[in-house]
This record gives sequence, C-alpha cells and structure tokens, in this order.
Amino acid sequence: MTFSSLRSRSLRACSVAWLLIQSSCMTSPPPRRIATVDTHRGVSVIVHMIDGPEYYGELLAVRDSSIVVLTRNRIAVGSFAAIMGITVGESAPTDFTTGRWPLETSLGKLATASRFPYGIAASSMAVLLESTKQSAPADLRTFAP
Amino acid sequence: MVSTFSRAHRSLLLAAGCFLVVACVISTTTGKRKVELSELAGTSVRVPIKAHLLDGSVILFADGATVAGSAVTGSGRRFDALRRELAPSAGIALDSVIGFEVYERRVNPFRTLVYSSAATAVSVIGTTAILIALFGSCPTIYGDSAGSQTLQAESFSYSIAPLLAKRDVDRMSIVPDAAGVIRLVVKNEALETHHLDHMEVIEVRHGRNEIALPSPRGGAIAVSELATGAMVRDGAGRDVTTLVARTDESAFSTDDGLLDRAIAGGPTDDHLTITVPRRPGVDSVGLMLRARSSLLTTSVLYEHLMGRQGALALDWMGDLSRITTLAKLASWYGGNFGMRVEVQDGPRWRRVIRLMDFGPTAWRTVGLAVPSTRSVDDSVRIRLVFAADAFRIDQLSIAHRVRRVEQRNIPIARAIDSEKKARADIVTMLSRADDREVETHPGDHFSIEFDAGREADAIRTFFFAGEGYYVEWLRPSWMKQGHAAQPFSPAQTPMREMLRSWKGGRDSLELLFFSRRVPIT
Repeated sequence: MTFSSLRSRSLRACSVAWLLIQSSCMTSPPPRRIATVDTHRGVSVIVHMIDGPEYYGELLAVRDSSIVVLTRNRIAVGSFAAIMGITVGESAPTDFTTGRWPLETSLGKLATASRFPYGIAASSMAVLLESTKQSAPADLRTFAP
Repeated sequence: MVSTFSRAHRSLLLAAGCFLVVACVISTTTGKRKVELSELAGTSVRVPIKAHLLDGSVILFADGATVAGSAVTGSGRRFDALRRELAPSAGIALDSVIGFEVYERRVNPFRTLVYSSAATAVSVIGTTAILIALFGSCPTIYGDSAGSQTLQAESFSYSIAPLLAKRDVDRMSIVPDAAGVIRLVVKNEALETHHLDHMEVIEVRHGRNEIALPSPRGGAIAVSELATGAMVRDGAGRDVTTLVARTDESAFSTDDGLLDRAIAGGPTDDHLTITVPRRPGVDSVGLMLRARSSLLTTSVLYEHLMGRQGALALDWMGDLSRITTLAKLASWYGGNFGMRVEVQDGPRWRRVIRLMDFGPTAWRTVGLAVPSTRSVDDSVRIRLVFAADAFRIDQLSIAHRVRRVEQRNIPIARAIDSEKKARADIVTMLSRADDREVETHPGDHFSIEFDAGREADAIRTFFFAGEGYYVEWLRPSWMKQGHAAQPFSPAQTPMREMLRSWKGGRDSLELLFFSRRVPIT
C-alpha cells in the first residue's frame, strides 16, 4: 500500500462519512416532498396602493413595470408607479417597500414566487380572463370589483 | 521549536476536525429555482423539475426528467393554466416549453455557521443527560436604563407553533427616564427562531399603597392591605410561609421526598395551601403570585416531545400547524402541567383558574381576584396545585382589598437595530397583531422605545405585552437518535416517566441553564 492510496482511501472514507453526517442533519424538507405538495399557484400577496387601498390575492406574474394578480376573483394589473409596497407570503411575510424596489433582484424573487414565473402568454391570459369572465385585466388604480 | 509548532498545529487541526464533525447541522432552504433550457440540454435531472409550457400549463416531474433530443421525458403530472390537474404526461416537446424550475435544497452558509457553532457548544457541553434540554427561554425583554440592562420579562414561553401564538403580559420594574421614555431591549438568547408579532407597553395608574398586577384573566388589578398571619404549607406538609413571604433570593421548590414518592408511584402533584383569617363582609381577596417554572416543562418539551422523536420531530413540528394535533397536545399539556388555583368552599375545593404562562427565566408576578369563600373553618384557603417540582415560587400573598384598574396602551414609538439604525419597519410590524412579524435568530437583539410621558406626581406601574411564537431548533443529538426515534404520543407518555428523567438531569441542567443561558453572543 502506497502512501497516496492510503490517503486516497482515507479521504474517500472521510468524504462518505462526512456526506452521511451532513445528509442526516438538513433543516429543510426534501425537494420531492415540497414538489408534490406544490399547488403550482403563485404566492399570496397584499398589494398596498399609494392612494390607500390594499388588495389581497395571488401573484400571477411580474412584468417590467407592473404585476398581475388574481384578487377578488378578478385578474388585475398594478403599475409599480401606483404601488407603495407588496407584502409577500403568509407564514413568513416579506415586505417589498418603496425605495427598495423595483430592483432587479426583488423583481426576480417576486417573479419566481408567481404562478407564471416566465410571464403570461396571450393564450394563457385569455384562459385566465375567461375563467373570471373579464374581457381585459382590471387596473388596480381604478379597481372596483 | 518547529516540531512543537507542528504538533500544536496537528492538535489544532484535530480539534477543528472534531468541532466540524460534531457541528453537523446544516441550515438549508428547500425551494424552486428557474433554470434555462440551455442549462439542461442533454442531461438527466434527478431532482423534481417543473416544465412551464407556452399554453400556461405546467408538468411536474417529481422524480426528475431527461432532457434529450427535442423532448423532455419522465413521469409527469400536468396542470392547466388554472392549475386543474389533467391527464398524466410522459413528456413534452421542447418547443412547447418556455422554461423550467428545479426544486432543490440550498445551504444557507451564515445560518449553518451559527447553527453549527451553537450545536457544537451544546454537543460539547452535553455529554450527559443534560443534552435533553437546554434552552426554552423565548424572547427576553430587558429594561435599558442609562446603559444598564435588567431582565424585565420573558414572552410566550410555550408558544411553540403559529397556532399557539399568544399574548403574554409581564409586570415590569422599569420606570420612564427623565424624558418620559421607556427603553427596552428585545433579545433572542435561545436556540430558537422567534416570530414577534406585537409588542406594547401598558401603563396602569394606581394608589400609593396599591400594587398593580396583570391578571391572567386579562386587564389589570390593584391589590392592597396584604394579609398578615397567612400560613403556607406544601404537599409534603412543610411550613414554607417564610420562604414565600416576600420577594427575595429564597424560593419554594418541591420537597425531594415528595418527588421521589411521585416517581415511585405516589401522587405526581404537589401543592401549596395558603390560609388566612377571613375578613367579614369581603367577598373576594387578591392573590399575588411571583413565580417561574422550573426547567421540568422545558426538559419534557425537548426530551419527550422532540428529542426522542429524532428526525421525526421535523414532521411533528410541521403537524403542529394542524388543529387536531395541536388540540391533542394542548389537552395533554393542560392535563399535566400549569398551575391550578383552587379555593376551598366548605369541604370542597372549587377550581378558580389554571395558570399556564410562566417561563423558566424571568420571574412573573400576577394577581388574581379569588372568591373569599368560607372553608371548613372561618378562614380563606387557597390552593395552588401543580406537577411535582414544576414551579419555583418566590412570593405568595393574599390581599384583603382588590380592584380592577384601567390601563393605557402605549405603542412602540421607535425601534433601533443592533447597528444603531432607526428601523421604522420594525415599528410597523410590531405595532399591530397581524400577519406581519419580526423574525429573530439566536444572538439577534434590537431596542424599542415607548413614549410614556413625564408625570412626576402619578403612581404608575408598567407592563410589557408581547405576542408571537417561536420555533425550536433541532439539536444534533436529537437527530442522532434515529435508531430509537418514536413518534410522540401524549397517551403513552406517563407523568412518572417524565419526572424520573427530569430528576436525573435536574441539577446539572439548572446549573448549566443559569450559568450559560446565553449560548450565542
């Protein structure tokens, strides 16, 4: 047995032991469990408008200058210019507030948490609007359900 | 010299190696990540992957998928744009796919460092049974007076899940400074994640000869004319009157003989009975109690509810979000722990209330109006019943006068984080009991200020009210008990067994807890 093979074997043993220890002490659930309980819907949000109203709903998509939400059984678009902040999530809510967004990273995080992280194609929007019996998305600034 | 240096180095490396092996808790977050098509071309993915299609539908390949040629193949479940499940899918052409998301675990480097260091501290210390439970102190609230900090309160000690989130009110000794401001420091000194929902200070005005106390029934009371000549006896028959006569360094704890008898098959409850002469024409008396829990409940919580479950504790903690699981736990916990207050009515004992909210760190003083009923003789007898050795009781007094008093809620005016920065967002999040919370981790702390106003002539007492819950961190020792892991079953956890394991590690556990309560600095 050469020194290098001994070292190599020891290293392998240590690596395996280390990986075993590590894998037994993860603090979050396995990905498969998360995937199988995923509803494939967007995260819950509260949209705080600059002029006062708040809208609770599902985040459908994030665009460059607006977000699309399903609120009060309506598809609605909110322009960032009219939004003061967005509270994202229910169990550990995160606030995106004026001054901190819309930054590129914030928008990226928001998009990942939406139902359509790659955006809503026209055909998908048509299906959504049909389900809510709308001809076009509502505007959160003038939203009247 | 070189040799010595080298040996020292080897020792250091060996120690570091041991440190790393013991500190094996890896903080991870499981979530989704967008992946571009180009990243997956020609690969087989073994983690769950979700394909987003042009028509808005998605296909979930829970066991992974192969992306090769012009298609992605695997065993998939398809959902339309409205997320209704469609027929299973064995694959899809790549030109129908906009992009993918993979589900994966990501390691949180900073938290892992903290977890691991904390876990190592626990592991190194805990070579004996004391490993079963170390910390259960919850958010600790310190009064900040000219830079000197004194412990004032310990909030929601047993709110170990969101559904158990509750409001605790603690009497404080702090007074406003010359500018009329009360400054408090909120600390996370435990191996826990704290979810803080609401915090406020409550002002109570009362007479000069009165003591204002938070009532477990809500609101506040003021008591006066403390009874002299009260006699207090415990379950072992000892006269403990002087032990609980006043606020001092001596406190009541259960007689060891009684604890031994409980373990051997005797009654598992202890009690204190306070007897005072009944004053004619008075329909109620005030009970003033200053107590804290022993570490019994902490050790039970951690050893039986979590430690013995091993990795199953992860699932069990998740199950606490279900009403039924929580109801079973609450029923079991309420049946075995807490403190029953009873008053003797003729020959019978009448239940007044059950007190549950004492933590192991800070003394809590509460007041309670109790009916002044006639016992078997012409005296008032009040009995506190609790599991053997579950409480430390510093003061137990009866007041002949008790009245409800008004209280004024004082909201947080300012918050300052550990970097001395003003934090309006913390003020907003803690100002109301809603779905916005401040989350803290071991070692975190921040200050909050309340404008109580300057009123030199008024006699005021201040309470601290806090609402929230906490999530316990799993200790490495618990995870290593995989071979013995068994789901927690309230019905199969006899009190006697809990007392036995408690007594075995009690002394060392208390010593450790009170000498090293702050494991992370």
